[in-house]
Amino acid sequence: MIQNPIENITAVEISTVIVDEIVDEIFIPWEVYQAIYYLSRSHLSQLAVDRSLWDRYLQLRRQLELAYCLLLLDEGSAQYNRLLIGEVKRDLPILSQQGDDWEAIVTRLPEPISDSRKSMSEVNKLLREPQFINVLQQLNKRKSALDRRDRSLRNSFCQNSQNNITDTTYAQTSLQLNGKIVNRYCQAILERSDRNLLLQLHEQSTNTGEQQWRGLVEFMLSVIARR
Amino acid sequence: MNQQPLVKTRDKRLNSCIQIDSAKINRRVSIPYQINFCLNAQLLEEIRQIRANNFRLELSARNIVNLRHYALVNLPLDSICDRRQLESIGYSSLTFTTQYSASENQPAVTLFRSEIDLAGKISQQVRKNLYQDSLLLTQISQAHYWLVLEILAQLPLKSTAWYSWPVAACFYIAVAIACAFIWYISPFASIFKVAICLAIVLVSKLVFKTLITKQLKSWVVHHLLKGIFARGFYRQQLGLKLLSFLTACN
Repeated sequence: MIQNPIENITAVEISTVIVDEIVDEIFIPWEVYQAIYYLSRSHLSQLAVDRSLWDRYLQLRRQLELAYCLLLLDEGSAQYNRLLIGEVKRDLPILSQQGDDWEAIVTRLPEPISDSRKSMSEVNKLLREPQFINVLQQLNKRKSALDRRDRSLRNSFCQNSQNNITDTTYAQTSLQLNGKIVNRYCQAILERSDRNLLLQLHEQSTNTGEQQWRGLVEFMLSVIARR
Repeated sequence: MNQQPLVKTRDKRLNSCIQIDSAKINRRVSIPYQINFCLNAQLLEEIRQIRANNFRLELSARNIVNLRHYALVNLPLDSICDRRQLESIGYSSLTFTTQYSASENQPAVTLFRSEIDLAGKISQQVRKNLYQDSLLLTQISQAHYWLVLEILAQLPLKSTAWYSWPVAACFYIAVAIACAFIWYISPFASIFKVAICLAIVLVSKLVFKTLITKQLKSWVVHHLLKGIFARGFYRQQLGLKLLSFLTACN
C-alpha cells in the first residue's frame, strides 16, 4: 500500500549535528541494500567498527529483514508469497523486537551479490517496490550517521572523547501537533564551555526548520490541488 | 535614482550561485540530489545587505524550473501518479548545501547542509571548522537559511493562473450549446428536457474533472518524472506550465 507521508505526520522534528566533514550523499538503492544486507557481527568486526555502535548497526539489518517480511505478507505487493505466510507470521514477533533473537532467523532477503541469476532478478524486483525503497532510504540515513559517528570515534580515540559531540545529533526539537514541544539534548553539551553557542545554533535551526518544512508542504499542496 | 539595473545584476549574481548537483545512476539516467549554494565573501555581504533591507531574491526562470523539477522528483506524488508504474527511486528529502570559498585560490568547502523531509524530519548539519569560527558561522548560517526560505517561498505552482478562466468559459459555453441543442431538437416534454440538460451539466462536469485531475495530471507528472518532460530546460518548463495550468483548472 502506498502511504502519503503528510497524512501520518504527528510532529516536525528538527535536529542539529556538528560534523567533521559534509560529504555528498547520493542514494543508490542497490548499493545501500548491499551494504545493509551484509551487516553482521563478523562483518562489523572485520571492518573494525567501534563496538559501542554494533547493536545500532545490527538494528538496521533487522529492520531491513522486517520490511521484507511485511512485503511478503502484503497482498498488494509484488513480493506477496502465499506459501510463506505461516513461517513469516511466526518470525514476525521476533523481528519486531529490538533484542538480538532475530539473528538466529535464516534470512529470506535475496542475496545482492550472487551467482544465481534468479537471486539478482529478485533483488531488482524488490528494489522496484516504493514502500521498500522508502524504508531503505530511512535506513540509509541512519547508516550514514552511524558511519560518521564511527569515523569520529576512531579519530578521537586518543583524545578525550567524553565531551565529543561530533557526528551525533547534539540537540533535537520535536514540535508536536498536539502543541507539545519536546527538546532533547546530548548530555555532553552540558559540560562544554561553548554550550550557549551550540544551543543558539540549534534554536536558529529550529526556527527556520519549521518554516522550511512549511514551504515544502506548500509546494506539495500547490501540485496536488488548488490552494 | 533608478536602482532597477543594480537589483537585476545582484539577482543575476545570486541566481548564478544556486546550482543543482546531479549524479549519473546509470548510462542514461542522472538524478538531481542536492541544491548547492556556492558563496564567497562578496556574496555573503550582498546577502547581508539584502536581508537588512528586507528585499527579496527573484529567482531566474531557469532556476525556478530546475528547482521545481528537483522538488517534484523527490516528492511522494502517489496521490496523482502511481510511482509503481515509474520504477522510480522513491521520494527523498530535499537537500540544500552551502559551499564557501574564502578566496579565489582556495577550493570551496561544504560548510552547511539542510535536509528537509516532507514527513517532518529536518536535519541541519554544520561542519566543525565553521562552528569554531563564530563570525563566519553567523554569516553563513543566515545566508544559507535565507536562500533556502527564498527558494521554498517561490517554489509553489501559481494557482491563480489567468488561463483557467478562458478554459472554464469554454467549458460552460460548450455545455450551454449542448443543452440548447437538446432543448430545440429533442421531441420530449419540457420537464424531460430540463432533466436531460441537468444530467448533461453534471456528467460533463464530472468527466471534465476526472479527465483533468486524474488522467491529464497523472500523465503530465509521469512525463515530468520520467518521460518527455523529464529532460531539457524547455521541456521541463513546458511540463511544469501544463501542470500549473491543470492545477488552476482543478
